Amino acid sequence: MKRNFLIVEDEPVARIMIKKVLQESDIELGEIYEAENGEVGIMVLEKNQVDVMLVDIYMPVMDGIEMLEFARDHPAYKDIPAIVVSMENDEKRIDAIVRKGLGFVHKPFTKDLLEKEIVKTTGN
Amino acid sequence: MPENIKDEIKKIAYDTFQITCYMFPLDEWEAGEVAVSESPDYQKRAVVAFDGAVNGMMVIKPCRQMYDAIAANMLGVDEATDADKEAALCEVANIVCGNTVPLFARNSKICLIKPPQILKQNQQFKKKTAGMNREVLEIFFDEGTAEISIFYENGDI
Repeated sequence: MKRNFLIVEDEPVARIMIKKVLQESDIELGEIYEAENGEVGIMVLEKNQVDVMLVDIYMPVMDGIEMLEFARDHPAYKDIPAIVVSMENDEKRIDAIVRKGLGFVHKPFTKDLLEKEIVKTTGN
Repeated sequence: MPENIKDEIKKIAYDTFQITCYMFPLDEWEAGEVAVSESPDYQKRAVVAFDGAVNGMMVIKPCRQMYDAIAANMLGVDEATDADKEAALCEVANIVCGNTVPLFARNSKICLIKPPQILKQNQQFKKKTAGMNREVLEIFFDEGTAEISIFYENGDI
């Protein structure tokens, strides 16, 4: 089953890297949308069918947590599985992310790690 | 800086370059040969500042061949643009430093990193790091060598 992904990350090189790892994985991919911050990410959600979100935390304009809180409170987006992709090392913050039902992948990550987390977070 | 911390930083750097840029470390016996024949030049350096438990900066300085290869490998292109090369080096530095600073946490305080930058103003950098401790590590890959400098104050790491 093909799934559409949204990558929300402010660094273009980092977005390319995430996209590349996704494409190298065994996940069946539909469209891969990109956004450079949370605000643009929301605009992408409004215009496209997104099945999974990969979201960085620290971004200008609107950070990842703010975007994911917006999505969680919106009936149309609240059930879209989301995985935080970050270098966050603070265990309390990671715990807070996971307790919200979000996935978490720590940079740098291999395609196997990303795949595992996608399967775990989406349930398939 | 204790040897175990230096070893840990090297491991972080090797893992990061391997996973993000598909660059593999040289065996120790080969590393010695590379160190003699191709030292890091001073073409580009990425710097990541950090503060909190410890204040300081990490500077990553790859040799020319590595610098060209980082972006090409990361982005999957034959030839990367200058802008891509700088951005790729910054991203690698960001990940290495981001994974290194937890080693410096102490007394319930952590370190936070600032966005990475390509070092352009040498004089300003020298002023900022004047008086800081400095540790220099070298890492060796098939593509060449990179030098990682860690400048820090607030006591020992």
